[in-house]
Amino acid sequence: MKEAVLKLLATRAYMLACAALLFMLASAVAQAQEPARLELATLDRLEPRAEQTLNITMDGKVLQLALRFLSDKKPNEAKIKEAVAGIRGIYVKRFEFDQDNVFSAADVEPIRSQLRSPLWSQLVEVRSKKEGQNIDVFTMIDGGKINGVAIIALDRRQVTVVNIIGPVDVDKLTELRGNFGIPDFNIGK
Amino acid sequence: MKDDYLWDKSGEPDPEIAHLERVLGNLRSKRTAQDLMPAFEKSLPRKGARVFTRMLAVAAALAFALLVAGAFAVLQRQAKKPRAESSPLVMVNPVTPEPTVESDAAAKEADEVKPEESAPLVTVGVPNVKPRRSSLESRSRSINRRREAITREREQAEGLMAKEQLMRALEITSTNLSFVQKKVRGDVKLGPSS
Repeated sequence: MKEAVLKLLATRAYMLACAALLFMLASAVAQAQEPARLELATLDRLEPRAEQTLNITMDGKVLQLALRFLSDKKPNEAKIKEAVAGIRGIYVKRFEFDQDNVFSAADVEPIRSQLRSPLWSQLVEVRSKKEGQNIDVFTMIDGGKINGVAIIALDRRQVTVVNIIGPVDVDKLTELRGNFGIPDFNIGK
Repeated sequence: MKDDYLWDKSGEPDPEIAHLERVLGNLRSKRTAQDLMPAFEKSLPRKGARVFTRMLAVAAALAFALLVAGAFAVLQRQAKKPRAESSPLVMVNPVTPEPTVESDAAAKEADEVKPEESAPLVTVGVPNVKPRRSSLESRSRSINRRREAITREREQAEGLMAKEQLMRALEITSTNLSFVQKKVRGDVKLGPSS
C-alpha cells in the first residue's frame, strides 16, 4: 500500500519536474528569439511603495488586435499604425509615488545591468536638474537597423521603463506625441 | 495470519480485537437467528404487492416510450409540412404601373398586335413551397446567433482595450522621446552614444 503511494508520488514529482524543465526551456528559447526583450519583473518590488502602478504588456497578438481597431481613415490613427508597423512587442512599467526619493538608483539597477550587454548601446542620456528628470534611451541595433528600444525615465516621483521590440522608427514614435491630445510645440524645428 | 481471525476466527487472535470482543460481548443479543426470522419475514412485502409494483413499473416504462414516440412523430410531421397550406393563393400583380395616356395608347397597340401576350392582372398560382423549419432547428440557430453575437462583443471589447493600452504605451514613449529630443536640440548633456 505504502509502496504504491510512494510510487505515485514519485511519478507525480517526476512529471512536475519535467513540466518545470520544459517551461524553463521554453522561456530560454523565447528569450533567445527576442534578445531585445528585457526582464522587467525585477521592478515589481517598487509596487508596494508606489501610489499608482501602470503595467502594459503587449505582445505580437495583442498588438495585432489593437491595430485592427485603428482606422486608416483617421489621420491620427493612421500615423500610429504606420509607426507601430513591424513592432513585435511593447512593454511599459510605470510607478508613481506620493513623495520624493521613495526609490533609489538600486531599484532600477537590474534593468541597467541588462542594458550593459554588448547588444545594447546607449543612444542618449539626459539629466535635467530643472525638471528633475533623468532619461536614458538605449537601442539594440541588428544589421544596421534598430531592433529594439529601451527607455528608463526617472522623475522625483516617478519611475518609467519602456521596452519596444522590433524595427522601431524613433522619429516616427517621437512625432506621435501630438496625436494624443498633448500639445506638440515642435521645439527646435 | 491475523486477518484470518478477523475473517472466520481461524487464525491467531489479535490481542486488540480480542479485547474489543470481550468489552463489546456484554452487549451481544441473546436471540438466535432463528428467533429473528419471523420478524424479518413480516417486514418483507407480500407477493401480491411485489407483482403490482412490477406491473406498475412496466406500465410507466410503456407510457414513457409512447410519449417519446408521439413527440418524435409530431416533430417529424412539423418538419415535413410545407410553409403554405395546400390552397392556392390569389396574387394581384403588385408592379402594375399607373395608366397614363401614352402607356394606354401603347397598351392598346400591343393588344391589337398580340392580345394573347398581355400580362394578366390576376395571377393564380402556388407560391414557392419551402419546408418549415422545426422548432428545435430554429432554436439552435437562434442560440448560435446569440453565441456569435456574444463572441463578437467580447472580441470588440478586447480589441478596444488593446487599442487603449497601445495608445497609452505610445503616449508615454513619445512623451519621453520628445523630452529627450527637446533637450538634445537645446544642447543639454548628451550621453555616450554608440
